[in-house]
Amino acid sequence: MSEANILDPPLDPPQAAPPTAHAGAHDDAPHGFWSTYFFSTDHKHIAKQYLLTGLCMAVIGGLLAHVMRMHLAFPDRAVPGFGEVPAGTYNALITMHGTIMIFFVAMPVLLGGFGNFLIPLMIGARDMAFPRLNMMSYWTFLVSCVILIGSFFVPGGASPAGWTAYPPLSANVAYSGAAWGVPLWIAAVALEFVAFLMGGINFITTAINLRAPGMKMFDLPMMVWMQLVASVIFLFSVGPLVAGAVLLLLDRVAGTGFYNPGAGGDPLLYQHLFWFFGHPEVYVILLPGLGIVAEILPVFARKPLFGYRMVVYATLATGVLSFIVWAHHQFVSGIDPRLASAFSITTILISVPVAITMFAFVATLWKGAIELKAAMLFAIGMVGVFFWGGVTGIINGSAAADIYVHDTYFVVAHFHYALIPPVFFSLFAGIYYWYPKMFGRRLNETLGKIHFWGTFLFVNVTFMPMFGLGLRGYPRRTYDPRVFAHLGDLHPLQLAATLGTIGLLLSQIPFVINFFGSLKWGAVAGKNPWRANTLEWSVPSPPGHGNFDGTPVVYRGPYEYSLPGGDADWLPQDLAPGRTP
Amino acid sequence: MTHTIPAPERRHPNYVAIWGVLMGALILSLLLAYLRHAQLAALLIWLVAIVKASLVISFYMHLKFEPAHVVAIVIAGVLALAILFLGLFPDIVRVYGG
Amino acid sequence: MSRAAAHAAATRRDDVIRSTGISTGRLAIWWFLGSEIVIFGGLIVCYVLFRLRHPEWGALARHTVTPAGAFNTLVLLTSSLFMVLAHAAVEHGDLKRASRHMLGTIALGGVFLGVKAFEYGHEMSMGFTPVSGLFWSFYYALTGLHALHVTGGLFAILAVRQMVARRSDTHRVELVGIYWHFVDVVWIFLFPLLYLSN
Repeated sequence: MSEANILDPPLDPPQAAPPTAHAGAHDDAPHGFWSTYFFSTDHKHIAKQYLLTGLCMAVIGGLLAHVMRMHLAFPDRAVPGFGEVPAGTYNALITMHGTIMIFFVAMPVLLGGFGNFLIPLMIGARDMAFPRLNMMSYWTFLVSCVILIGSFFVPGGASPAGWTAYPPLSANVAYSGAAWGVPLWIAAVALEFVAFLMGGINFITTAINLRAPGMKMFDLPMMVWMQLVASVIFLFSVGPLVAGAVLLLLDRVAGTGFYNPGAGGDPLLYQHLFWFFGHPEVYVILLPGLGIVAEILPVFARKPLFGYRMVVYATLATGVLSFIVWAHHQFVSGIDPRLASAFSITTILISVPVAITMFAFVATLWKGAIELKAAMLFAIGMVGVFFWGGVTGIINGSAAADIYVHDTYFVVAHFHYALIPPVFFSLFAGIYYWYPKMFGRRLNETLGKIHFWGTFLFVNVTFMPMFGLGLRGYPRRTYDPRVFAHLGDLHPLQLAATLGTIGLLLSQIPFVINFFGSLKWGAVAGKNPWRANTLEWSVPSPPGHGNFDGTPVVYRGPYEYSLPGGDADWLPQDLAPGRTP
Repeated sequence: MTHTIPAPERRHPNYVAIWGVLMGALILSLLLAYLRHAQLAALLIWLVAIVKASLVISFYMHLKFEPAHVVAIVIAGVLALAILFLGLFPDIVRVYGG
Repeated sequence: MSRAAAHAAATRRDDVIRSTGISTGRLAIWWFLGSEIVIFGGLIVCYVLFRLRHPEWGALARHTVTPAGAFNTLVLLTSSLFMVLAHAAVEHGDLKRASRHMLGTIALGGVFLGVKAFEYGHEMSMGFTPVSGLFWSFYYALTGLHALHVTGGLFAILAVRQMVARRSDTHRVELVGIYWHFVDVVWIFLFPLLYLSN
C-alpha cells in the first residue's frame, strides 16, 4: 500500500485494514506482537499507546518538578538522587517541565488517548476515518518525544529558554549556551504539532462524518463535542506559531533578524505568535478535560447533564472567544496599552461560558443519587480545584491587577490550579471510568479513593502557598532566593510547597499499583459496569477490532437517566424504543 | 482491490474559460502596477488578487459546490488571520508612541 | 432524517460514513487546507505588518524579477487548469486523458521550480541573500515555504498518477488537485506582495 493511501476513506474499515490487524478480531490472542501492539491501525491500540506514552512523560515531568522544588526548599544542598543544580540546569528543568506537561502529557493523554479511544466508540464508528494517518500521528509524536528527551544529553544541555521560548533568549546561542538544546526543542515541538494536526484532522472528520445512523450532532456525547471543538481550536491557532517557529529557527541557524530589533525585526512579534496559539492551547487542554467530567457526572448522579444544549453553545462560545484573549499574557511586555484594555475585557468575557459549563456541572449534581466512586471523586475534584484556577484568572486577566502579580508565584499557582484539574484530575477520572472498557477489568476502588484524597490534599498543599508567595512579590523562575534578602521570611511557604510535591508524588504510588495490578487481578468488568448510556458501553470490554458487530442505530441523546415512568433508571442511546435495558 | 467512492454528480464549469479570465486578471494586475497613485494601485492589485483566488477556490477547488460547513472552514481560517492582523497591528506597525 | 428512516439506512454503509453528505476524503483535505491557510496566512500577515512598518521596502521589492514572477504565475495557473481537467477526465472515465493532463501539471510545476531557482541565483549574485535585511529574509522565507509545498505537491501528483495508471483510487485525483490549487492560490497572493510595488 502506498503512502498516499492514508487519505483513503474506507467504506468498510475491517476490510480495508491490513490482514494482520484483522486477524485479531473477536478473539483475545494477539496475532503477531509487533502488528498488534506497535504498528496497529486500530484506534483503541493507538489510544493506549498515546495514553501510556503520555503517562511515562508525566513521570519524567513530575520528577523534573520534584528536583526544582527540592532545590528551592534547600538551595544550599545538592538534590538527593540528582546532585547539584546549577543555574543553567535549573532553567532547563523549568523549560522541560513546562514543555513536557503541556505538549507531551496533556495533549497525548487527553486528545491522543481519550479522544482516540472514545470518538469512534461514542459515535458508533468502526474506527477513525483515516486509521493509517492515526498510526502516523502516534509515531510522529513518539519521534518528537525521543528528540525532546534526547536534548537533555546533547552538549550544552536541554533548552533553558522557557516553555514559551521567547527570543532573544531562544534566538541567540550567546544568551543561553544551549547550542543544540534550543534547535532540538523547536524540532520536537514542531513535530508534536504535526502529529496533532494529523490527529486533529482525523478527529474532526470522524466526529462529523462517521456518526451512526440516527445520531444527530445534538445526540453527540459532550466528550465528542469537546474533542471536536478542541481540535478545531488547535487547527486554527497553531498555524501562526508554526510560521513563527520557522522564523525563530531561521533567526537561530541562518542569522536572519525577524525578532532582532537591531535588524529591523521585533521580539514582540514572536510573543504575539506564541500566545495566539498558546492561549487557545489552554482550551485545547481544558475542553477535553471538561468532556470527561461531563460524561462521568450524569452516570454517578443518575441524572441527565444539566442544560446539554447550553453547554454545547457555551463550549462553542469558549472556542471562539479563546482566539481573542491571547495578549493578556503580555501585559508587562510593552504592548500597546490600548490593547491591554481590550484584551482585559475579552478575558473577563471568556469566563462567562466557562462558568456556565461549571454551573451546569454543579446543577447536574443537584438532588442526584450520587455515588462517590473514584471516578466521580476525581470528576467532582476537577470542578472544585478548577474553581481556584478560574477565579484567580480574573485577577490575572485584568491588566491593572495583573501588573502587580505578573511574573510572581501567584501566576505559577494560578496556572497550576487551572491546568492540573483538566490534565490530572480529568485524566484520573477518565482512567477510573474507562479502564474497564479499555482493559476489561475494574480498578480497585479503595486504592482509587486513597489516590484521590492524597492527590486532592497535596495539590492544595503544593500550590495554595504559592498564592501567598506571589502576593508578597516572590518572582517566579527565581533560581536562588538567597540573593533577595526580603524573600528570606517567605521560606516556610516554599518549604510547604516542596513537602506538598513530595506528598503528591507519593500519592501516585497507589495509582501505579492499581493500574498495573488490576490488569491481572482486577474484577472482570463486563459490558456496562456503570449502567451508562453512551455507545461505548454497548460493546464488549475491551471491544473487538471494528468495535461494533453491526451498525448501531441511535434513538436518543446520551444522558437520559432516571426519566419518569421508566423501568430502569437509564436508557442506552442505541436501545430501540419500547425496550428496557 | 481498493474501493472507490463514486463521485457525486456535479456540474463541471468551463475550466478553460475561467483560465482565460485568470490570464486577463494577471495582465491587469501587471498594468495596475504602473498607476501613478500608489495606494490606489495597491488596493486594486489586492482586489484583483482576491478575485483571482476566489475564481480558483470556487471553480477549480469546487468550493462553490460543497456544503456550507466546508465553506465555513475557509471563512474561519481567514477570520483567524484577520484577528491576528488586528491584534498585532498596533504593536508591529507601531501606531502608539512610534 | 427521522429515526425510522435512520433505522432503514443502518444497513447501507454509505450513509454511515457520510453523515454530512461530503466524502470523508474531501472533508479531510479541506480541514488540512484550513490548517495550511493559517500557517501561510500567519507568515503573510507578519510580512504585511512589517511592510506597513517599513514603507521603504517598496523600493527593495523593485529588485525582485517581476517578469519571472509574472511568468511563474502564468505557469502555476496553467498547471492548475491541467489539474482540474485531469479531474474532469477522471469523472468522464477517461483515465488516459487524466494521466496526460497530470503530466502537464507535473511539467509546469517543474518549470515553476526551475524559474524560481534561476531567480534565487540571480538575486544572490546581486548580493541579496536571506540575511541582507528583513525584506529579503521574508522574501526567501515566503517563497521558500511555497516552493517546498510545490515540491511536495509534485510528489503527491506523481504518486496519484501511478494509482491512476493502476486504475485504483482515482478519486484522489480530485483530492490532490484541491491541494495543488491551494498552492496556486497562495502564489496568487505572494506575487503582488513580493513583486509588484511602487
